[in-house]
Amino acid sequence: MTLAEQFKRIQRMAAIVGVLGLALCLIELFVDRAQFFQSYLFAFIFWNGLTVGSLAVYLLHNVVGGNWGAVIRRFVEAGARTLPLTFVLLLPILLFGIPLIYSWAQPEAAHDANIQFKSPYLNIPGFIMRAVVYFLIWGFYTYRLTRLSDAQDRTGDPMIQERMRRLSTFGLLIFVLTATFAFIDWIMSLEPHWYSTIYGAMFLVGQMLETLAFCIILLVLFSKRKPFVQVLNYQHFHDLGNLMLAFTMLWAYTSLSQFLIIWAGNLPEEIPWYIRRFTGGWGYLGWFIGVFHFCVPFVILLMRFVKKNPNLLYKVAIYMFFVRFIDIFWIVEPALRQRRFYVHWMDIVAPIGVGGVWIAFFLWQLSSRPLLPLHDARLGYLPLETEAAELT
Amino acid sequence: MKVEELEALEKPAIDPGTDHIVGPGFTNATVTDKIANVALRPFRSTPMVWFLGIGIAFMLMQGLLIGSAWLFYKGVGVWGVVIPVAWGFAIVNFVWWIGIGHAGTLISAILLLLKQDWRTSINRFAEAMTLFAVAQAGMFPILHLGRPWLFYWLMPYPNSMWLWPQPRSPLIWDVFAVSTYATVSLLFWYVGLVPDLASMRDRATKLWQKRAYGLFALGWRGSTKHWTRYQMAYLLLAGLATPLVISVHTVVSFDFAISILPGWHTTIFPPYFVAGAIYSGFAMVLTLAIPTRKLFHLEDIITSRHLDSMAKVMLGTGLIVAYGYMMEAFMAWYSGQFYERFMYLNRATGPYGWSYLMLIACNIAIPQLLWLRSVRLNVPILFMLSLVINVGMWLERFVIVITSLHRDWLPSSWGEYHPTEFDWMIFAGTIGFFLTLMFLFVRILPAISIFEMREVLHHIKHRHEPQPAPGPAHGD
Repeated sequence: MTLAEQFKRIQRMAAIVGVLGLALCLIELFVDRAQFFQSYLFAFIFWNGLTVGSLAVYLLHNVVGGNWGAVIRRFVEAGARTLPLTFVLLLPILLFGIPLIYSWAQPEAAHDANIQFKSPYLNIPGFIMRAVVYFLIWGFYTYRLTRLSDAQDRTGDPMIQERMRRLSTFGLLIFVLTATFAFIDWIMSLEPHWYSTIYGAMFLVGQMLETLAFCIILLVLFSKRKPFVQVLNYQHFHDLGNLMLAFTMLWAYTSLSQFLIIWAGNLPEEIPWYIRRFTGGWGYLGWFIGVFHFCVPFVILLMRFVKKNPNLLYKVAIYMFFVRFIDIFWIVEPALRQRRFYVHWMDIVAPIGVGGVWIAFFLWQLSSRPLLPLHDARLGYLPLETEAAELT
Repeated sequence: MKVEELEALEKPAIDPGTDHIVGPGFTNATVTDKIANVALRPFRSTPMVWFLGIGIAFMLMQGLLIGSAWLFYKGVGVWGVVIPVAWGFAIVNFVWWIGIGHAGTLISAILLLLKQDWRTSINRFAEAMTLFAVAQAGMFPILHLGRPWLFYWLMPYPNSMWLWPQPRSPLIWDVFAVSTYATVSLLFWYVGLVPDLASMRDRATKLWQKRAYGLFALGWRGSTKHWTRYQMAYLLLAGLATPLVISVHTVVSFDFAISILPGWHTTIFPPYFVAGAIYSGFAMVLTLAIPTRKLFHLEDIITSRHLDSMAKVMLGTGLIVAYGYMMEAFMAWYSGQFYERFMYLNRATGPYGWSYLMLIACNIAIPQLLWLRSVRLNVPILFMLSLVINVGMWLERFVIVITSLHRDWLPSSWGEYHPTEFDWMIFAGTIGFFLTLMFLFVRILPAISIFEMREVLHHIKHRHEPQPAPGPAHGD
């Protein structure tokens, strides 16, 4: 079976799983609408994390350069190009879900002075408008940059890379700001009294870590194939492994900073966020994340032979992808389930449904362009048109 | 030293531009000559400007001696610190100096691990700066103790009173963080110097010079065994120093953030302090490197490539700092907490509003000029900008310490802070002390790593060998 056929098959399977999963979720819509949107929001945040994270990694690589990014460039481009899909996926929340999950949009909020105070920011029209603006800005950079990337494939003009760098420098700035406010809107405002200045940075680092793990998984899967086999060497894996280590550490750094400062301050307006996440069974998950999202991968990724061995790195990346899933669950869901810890069947099915659709869309985007950029000097080997375009 | 060599010292060097980390035509021998001769030249051929500079710095340093002598005699009351502002200049200066040190470690350790070749000609210099800056920083908490002779109480040691430092206090973490940082920085700097000290020993013409350099060269002969062990040690120290860049300023930020004071208690503090430290550190490296390269004609070794890269790091870290300010301001409003909001308004419009406005101008507004390539390559403007940022980062600590403390909750406990002449005297004295040490350093020791420059030349030579004429990627 050729790669193209395999692509098609996986794409079809993912689409079927996705549509079936989402259809199954619709049942819940008639049972408990609030529960539906709770789980759906979680699924959306997790998969949209790959889209946002891809754009972040893409912009970052355009600015700082490096050989590691050239080999995953098409993955992150395709990831960022799933923006139209994730916007559509956000629509149910924007149109129907806000009053069901965001307590600031519920009638009781009218009696809460604190929420009333921030109502110029936390209100339904503003929430929708901001979401549209975020997607427009992200879309602008994604399509401008990937179009330049296409032009580079066609013409091989070495100046295009420089143009991409210039565009991305300012783009990164705007992106970090918009992403911060997107996370404040979508996730932090689930607990409208709570606030933390590091939140945007912490969440963005987590999403980028998720994306790096995802890209490593893909890269290893493709590594035995043309055109990757001509280009890849252990140094690429070593660099990507180091990046994953760096982002694991950065994630731990931001998370621990927030925890330590809020724990030591123990203020009534801040500490409830952690009380909710460390009581009623959620605490087990919190400790699990502390140990298995930082300590274990940190020790594993410190070892050089792991990062140089694609098969081992592949396993670590899958593991990281999984713990990211748990971490996002622990951040998002306790806000909505304040009494005790439970996992609803929707918490599993909704991410599978959304994920299936996302993967199908991602593979479509990935297969519509050569798998490696044709004229990126950082590859050290310029793939032939036929090799890289094998799929198109 | 021969006459022609002396003349060569005075020859102006030409900056090869942003594509090169070293000027053209250097060989192993000439690069060694060039760097070693800055230190080995006869006493009388030292540039007059150097004498002038160290003279002024040495005079400034007397402020530290006089100020601290009076402080020891009278007590901390000679400073302007008074409740509610119990942390005045001492802590502002402490954080400022320790932040400056961070760029040195970043350049020498993190950029080494990231394989950035432009670090080579500035790392030694920046490491020395780190060491001297940490020395200044370390003095302030001790001067601030009230009874500085009891400073050893900060260490946990078994004593008859069975008293231990409070392990929950970040101030104690500071003791360990800073002393570890100072130790590792010293080791890192010294280990990096050893092969060069041996070169100096071998090139020195006077016996006492040979003996002095030889003593500290620890019998280095440059055998293969020496080099392998050296490289292992250097890499390990780089690995050790890397987390220290982050941890020291994180702990410093905890000194503030662990409390519940509005303006101090905010979660963005750790990363934003680290970014600010690197920001001010790079500004200080530029402040020192630009006159040095001019004075000793090192434009072909510290090229505009270095200045450009450092300017870019400043721009990047400056933007992270701006992000921190923005999040603080937004959350002060979004929190809906009265005191958070009041703190921010008071910061911007209260009695110390001038410091906040100057801070925004120096740290955020003016440095945006660095977006322009023409500004990054204009050495005088870059020098001015580095001074502006140094001032801005000092003001940042001033704003954080003073404006948060002077008005907290109850208006009855508000107060004002006015630094006294002793505050200024000691602050200026540490600048003098720091500059004196820097002047001595560039005159006595090789301020640029000789053997690493030779390594760079080797790489450049061999990179171009296999691909003649129009190779695809030139320079780097």
